[in-house]
Amino acid sequence: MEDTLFDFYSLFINESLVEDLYAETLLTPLTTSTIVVTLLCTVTFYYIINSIRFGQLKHWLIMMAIGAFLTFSIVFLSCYNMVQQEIPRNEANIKKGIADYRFDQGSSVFFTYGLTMFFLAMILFVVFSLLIKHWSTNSRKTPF
Amino acid sequence: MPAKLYIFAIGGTGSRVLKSLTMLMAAGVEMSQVSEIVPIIIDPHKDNIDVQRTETLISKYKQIRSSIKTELVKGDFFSTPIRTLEDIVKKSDGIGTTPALTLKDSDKTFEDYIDFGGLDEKNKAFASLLFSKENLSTEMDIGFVGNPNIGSVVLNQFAESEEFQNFASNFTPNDRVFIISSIFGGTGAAGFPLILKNIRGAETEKVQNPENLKNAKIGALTVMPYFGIKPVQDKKVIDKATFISKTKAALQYYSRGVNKKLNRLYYIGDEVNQDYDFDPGKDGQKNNAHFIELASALAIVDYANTEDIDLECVDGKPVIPVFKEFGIRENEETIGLKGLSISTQNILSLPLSQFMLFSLYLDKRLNEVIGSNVPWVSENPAIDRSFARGNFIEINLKEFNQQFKDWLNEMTDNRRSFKAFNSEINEDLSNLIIGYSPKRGFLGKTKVDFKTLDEANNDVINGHNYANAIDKFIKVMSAGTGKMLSDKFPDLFQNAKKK
Repeated sequence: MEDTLFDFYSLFINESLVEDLYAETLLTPLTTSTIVVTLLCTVTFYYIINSIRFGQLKHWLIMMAIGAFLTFSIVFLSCYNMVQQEIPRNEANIKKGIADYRFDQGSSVFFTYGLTMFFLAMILFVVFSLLIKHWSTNSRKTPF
Repeated sequence: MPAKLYIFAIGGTGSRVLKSLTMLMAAGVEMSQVSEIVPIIIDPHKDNIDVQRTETLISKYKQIRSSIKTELVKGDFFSTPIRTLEDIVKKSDGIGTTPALTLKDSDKTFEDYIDFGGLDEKNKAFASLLFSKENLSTEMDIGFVGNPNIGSVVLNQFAESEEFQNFASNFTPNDRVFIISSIFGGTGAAGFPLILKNIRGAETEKVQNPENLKNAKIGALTVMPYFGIKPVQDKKVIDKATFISKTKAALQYYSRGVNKKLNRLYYIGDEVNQDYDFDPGKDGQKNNAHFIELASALAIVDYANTEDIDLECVDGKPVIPVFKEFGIRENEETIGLKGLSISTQNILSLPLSQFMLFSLYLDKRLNEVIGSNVPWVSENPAIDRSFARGNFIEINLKEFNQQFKDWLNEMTDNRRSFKAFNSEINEDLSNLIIGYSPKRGFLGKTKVDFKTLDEANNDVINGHNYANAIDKFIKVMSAGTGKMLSDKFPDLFQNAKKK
């Protein structure tokens, strides 16, 4: 699984960051949390809220944004948390006094990764919506 | 086996009770033992606005009902069909297209009608004993003006009328008859015993199927005084002071010759009442709707829900004649649904509240929701702009709805006042039903508005297919209003179950 995800994320995410995520086997949990968070948001919209009052396109977009933002936050904070752990990428370099730690790509790379996952979550939200909306009593015609 | 209920609505009161019944039927009040209603209005007063309003209402009801192609079930709005005699008989020569029976020579004075001038002296003297000068000069196109002695003569033509002959020839043993009349006026007091006599006393040489008529299940409602007439100086007109004495005299007569011929007889009246302006008739009699008329319509509902076994007749005599009266819980000037007895609440509260919701939805929500993504509206067959602008909504339902609102308002303004709903309602439906609050949710008061009804409609539409938008609209609104009220106003149901 981790290999497949590595190949997938390598297509559009900073290669060094993907390697670090792969090395720490974070690709699977982060992807899973993205799916779970998005699915929860979709289920919440269609089956828990399931309301005409909160069933218009704008409300659907709000739920999509919430799911995407949560995903962004999880990804960004996970990377930031890994920075704090100072995990050596290469012990030899460390011994030589070279600061060679994993997740040293910087905030802008994490932000870009987070943003990518943000858009991925949005795509997932659309897919999940299409899959489950038909059984919603009040929101099955949202977004279309 | 389909059973028709023929309703003879006599006089102005008969028409007004029939109007109330039509409202109840529109609301889906259950009439379990009859499959359709056949009203026959008997009133010589051609310009009677009450009669005209009832005829219009019935016509609208029929148009609405005929637009619905799917079979309606118990509790659906407009579920019980109304048909006129013309709809039933194949040969309709001589029968009007409306439920009103045409009385011959009713445009004459009574004097001309009996050819008073052509009578010999003895008969003239005898007729003068029975009829005063005012009686003789009464122009009958304004009714019998509180004179049952005139009505008992003129209405005798009923037995020979095309309508009665067709009624008799189409009457089956499953069918039922109900007669509505007031006891304190002219037309009803005279017409009721006469119609009963012609049915129970049916003879082979006069009508077809006399046995069916003799053993017919017959119920009747006799409405005792529930309004007065304002005195008019220098005019010998209807005098409300005579209402009670007329009622007593008629009741005495009924106890001898009428009561024993009926399977069910319902009595109703009210001491709390209001004086109406005297209306000589030429401008059309138009009395505001009254709670007594609604309660009277409930008598017909009770009769229509009575099982056949309780209405048996042997040799033209009812086996178990039953006499009923109507009562309310508290003697208040203004009553609402809670002021009604538990059994009346059981019958009335839910359907009437449902139809009120339906009525408000038509007025305040339908145009707003069209074009939205609310599933019950947008899914096929769609409730769209062309549907909302079509004849069904614009001509039939909205006009019926206007009469429904007028009917409720008139009952509210009358005395005794019946006020079941707050008419000043916009979005918030929490205070719609007077005396009932919506169920409190986990976080306190729950919001009840038209969106709540839309959600209930979305729920009931699941798993159903509808032939067209009209069928869908009526069936979904019938079920959706019921669901919303049971979810949000469970007291409407629970109160009805308490004993």
